[in-house]
Amino acid sequence: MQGHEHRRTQAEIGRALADPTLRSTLRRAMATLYERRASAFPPGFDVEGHRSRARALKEQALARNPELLAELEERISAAGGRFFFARTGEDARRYIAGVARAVDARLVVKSKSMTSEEIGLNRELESLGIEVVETDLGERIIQLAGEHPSHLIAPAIHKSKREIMQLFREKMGIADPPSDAEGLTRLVRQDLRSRFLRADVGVTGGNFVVAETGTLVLLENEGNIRLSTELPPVHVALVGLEKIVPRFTDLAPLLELLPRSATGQILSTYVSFVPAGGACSEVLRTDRAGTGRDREFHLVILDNGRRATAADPELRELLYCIRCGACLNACAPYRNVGGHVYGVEPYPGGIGCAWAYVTKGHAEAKSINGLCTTCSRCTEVCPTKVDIPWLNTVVKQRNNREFGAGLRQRIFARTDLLGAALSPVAPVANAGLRSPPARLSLGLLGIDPDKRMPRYERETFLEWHARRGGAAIGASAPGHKVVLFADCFMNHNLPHVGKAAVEVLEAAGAEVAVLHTPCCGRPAMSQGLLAMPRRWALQNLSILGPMIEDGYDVVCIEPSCLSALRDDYARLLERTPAAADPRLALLQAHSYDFSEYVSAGVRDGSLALHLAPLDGAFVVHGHCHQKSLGIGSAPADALRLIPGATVHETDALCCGMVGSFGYKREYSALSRAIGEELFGQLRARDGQVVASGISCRSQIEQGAGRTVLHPAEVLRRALLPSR
Amino acid sequence: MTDDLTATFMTALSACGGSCFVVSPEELADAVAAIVGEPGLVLVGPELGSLERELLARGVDARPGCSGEPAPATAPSVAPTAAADFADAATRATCGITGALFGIAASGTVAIDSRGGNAGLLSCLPPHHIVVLSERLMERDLTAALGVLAREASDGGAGFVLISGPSRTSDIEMMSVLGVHGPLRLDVVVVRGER
Repeated sequence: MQGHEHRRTQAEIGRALADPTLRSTLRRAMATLYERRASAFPPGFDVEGHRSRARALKEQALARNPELLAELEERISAAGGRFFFARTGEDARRYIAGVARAVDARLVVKSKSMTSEEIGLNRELESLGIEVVETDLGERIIQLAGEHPSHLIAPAIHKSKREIMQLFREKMGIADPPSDAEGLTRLVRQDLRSRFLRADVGVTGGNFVVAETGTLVLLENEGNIRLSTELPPVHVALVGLEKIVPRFTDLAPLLELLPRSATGQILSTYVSFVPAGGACSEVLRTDRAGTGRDREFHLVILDNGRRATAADPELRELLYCIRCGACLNACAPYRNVGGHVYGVEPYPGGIGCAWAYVTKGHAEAKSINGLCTTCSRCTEVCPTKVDIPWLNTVVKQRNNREFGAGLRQRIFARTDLLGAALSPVAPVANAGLRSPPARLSLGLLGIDPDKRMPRYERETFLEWHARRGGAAIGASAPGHKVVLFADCFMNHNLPHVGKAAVEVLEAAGAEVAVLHTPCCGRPAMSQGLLAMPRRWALQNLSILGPMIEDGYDVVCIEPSCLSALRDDYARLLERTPAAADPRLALLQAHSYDFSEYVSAGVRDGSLALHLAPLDGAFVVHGHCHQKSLGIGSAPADALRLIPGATVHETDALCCGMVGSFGYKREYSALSRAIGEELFGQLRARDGQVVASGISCRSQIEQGAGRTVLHPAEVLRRALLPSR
Repeated sequence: MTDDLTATFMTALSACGGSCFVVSPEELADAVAAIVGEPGLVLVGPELGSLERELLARGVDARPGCSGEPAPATAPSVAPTAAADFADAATRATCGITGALFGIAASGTVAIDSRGGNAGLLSCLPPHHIVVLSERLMERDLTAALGVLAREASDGGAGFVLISGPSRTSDIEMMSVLGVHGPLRLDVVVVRGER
């Protein structure tokens, strides 16, 4: 089971990583798009308000979809357009081919439509002897190259100028193509303009369709969509059913967010509102070709798995996706290898996995499921707040159900059992994990034997705490009561971090309780195994809930555990009786990251830390889950409590380890490649490296050869002896 | 207040690569003739009334940008009056001039009626597009603009294009290039206090 497709993925990744042109082109493009998006939301712009409105709108529109479809059909027909509902990709292909055949089409011009890629429309038309010409510059480039798009909005983003010149030489027969982007663009303009004028049919996609007016809305920058909709005597628009919105004015939040998220523009250069009867200038409404036929407009609405998804509460939010591509620009694996590695057409990235599942089924989705590390950086930038990591988790779970979960998945899921088994025999276990037989077994399991496994400690954090006699309550009445969440890794692998955290919290005036709690569930969730995490979530609720009711706050050492308590439990327990349990909301509101808790407490005066200056500077790498929870600067803030501390924060997207991701054999090289950005930044700076996550810690130690401390360890070192 | 909106419009339009000129109604024909600049075929949308004749009088090779109207007597025989070759003529033209339904100050956008006249093609096929926009038709932002469009679109027949700057791409190594399939140049002439 692990075999074939993992080998394919590993080979694809290897190929991409070995292509320096691809990597530098991608890296530049991704950084540019990511920054453009960020600068498109100036301080006064209510991003959150817009995102919430956009999401609510998509939610409501989808709930009313059948009724909106009926309204839309009526509008289109009344205005003289043709409406067709395609249940499958094949239905849509057949209908569009029929339209083309009916007008004896020889040339079809197409503007970029991911939906048409989804159903393989070009192949169908070409098999009928029709010439199909892509007219978006990027799409035209990849069409000439015989490739597929590698990005939702920038399909040829992986190609360098030099490669494009060579392509024009070979495929357009231009002996000496210009060497600048402007000249190359001009060539395509000239070449395609004559085709626009000759084309029999124009095929487009659509960004939104308004039910109340039958208006089709299309966004673009180049003008090829306008020409495709206005010039040819027949216009066919192929649109997924999720793109229907009820009213014209509903478009506002979507139009505000789509261009900003996609390219950083306030508005795309052209936003076309094609009326229900089709776009057409007055002059072309009369018969241009002299055939005596009326100009035709066909709106093809595509289901292809969407209706079932709309009825599927776990996956429904995939249909809120407005195809801006912002998630790809924020995706560490994507940024390093590009869209072709995913090998599932046409949508790459984490969102692509869910689209593949919905439109193509289990097998296709399974092959790319592991490429989503569930780091959540994509959700931060999604205009409709689609929880892409959750979608991937659900797809993983269903694939496990379909194909069975592998042994490796089951091992990675049970960090709690591994710790419990290996801690008591720590010296043997630590040495054993490096022995040749162990390396061989790891390799057979699909785990990279060269990645250093976490070391186990003989005395766990919980044992230390029991030996110490429980909570030490200071002389002063504690302003804070804290349950320090003893996660599996801290307990078994980094007990000294837990000890440091206890000492810092106690020194700050908090009473610290430590409880035997089950694993947070995150490691199992990331393997798509959800039954255990559900059980653990309930247990944690019943253990931590009463404590919180009793005035305790829950403080996590590991940001991933916090993201489970604060974020994932709500998803895990959706549609279970526990969803309405008030303790769930309590847990969300009273769970904190260690750094966040300490720095907020000291700053509002409810905690007091007496710290001495420490030598040297600190270089802090924020954990992905800290960033996605909006507390990315918490570790740096905590370190700044130390008098005179010089704190530098890296701006690398991700360390690349992300839980078990970097240990998996097929992703191990990609994990290192992702880490290079961070390692480079660390190499350029002296100072103590600080990171909150255990996987970040291990990645940095192995990749950059630097020792790493948790913020709790640093604060512990700076603690002044009690007054 | 109107002036503020126009100033915002100018800044936003120049940020997306277009230019804006503010003129009085009396200055309009002279200003447009100057903006057209280079010699060549200029197609003028029917919604602009007499502007085409006024441009002709100023030495501009202006023709009506629609098929329905007879070519002016002074025009040579190649006037693009037949539907069959209108699109080709629009492709040959050096400049298309259209009116606008309204402007959007916040984004430097003009709204074109793409169905009524032939503004859709005139604003897309020639390499240079000049828009004549009445200052009093300036909307503040997208939300206000959508309100106007919603009213216009309510009968299902109306079509529009919102245009913000010249045609552009960054498909080749993220380098910004203007004039891909649509105009390379976009100039908006805002007519002060008209009508």
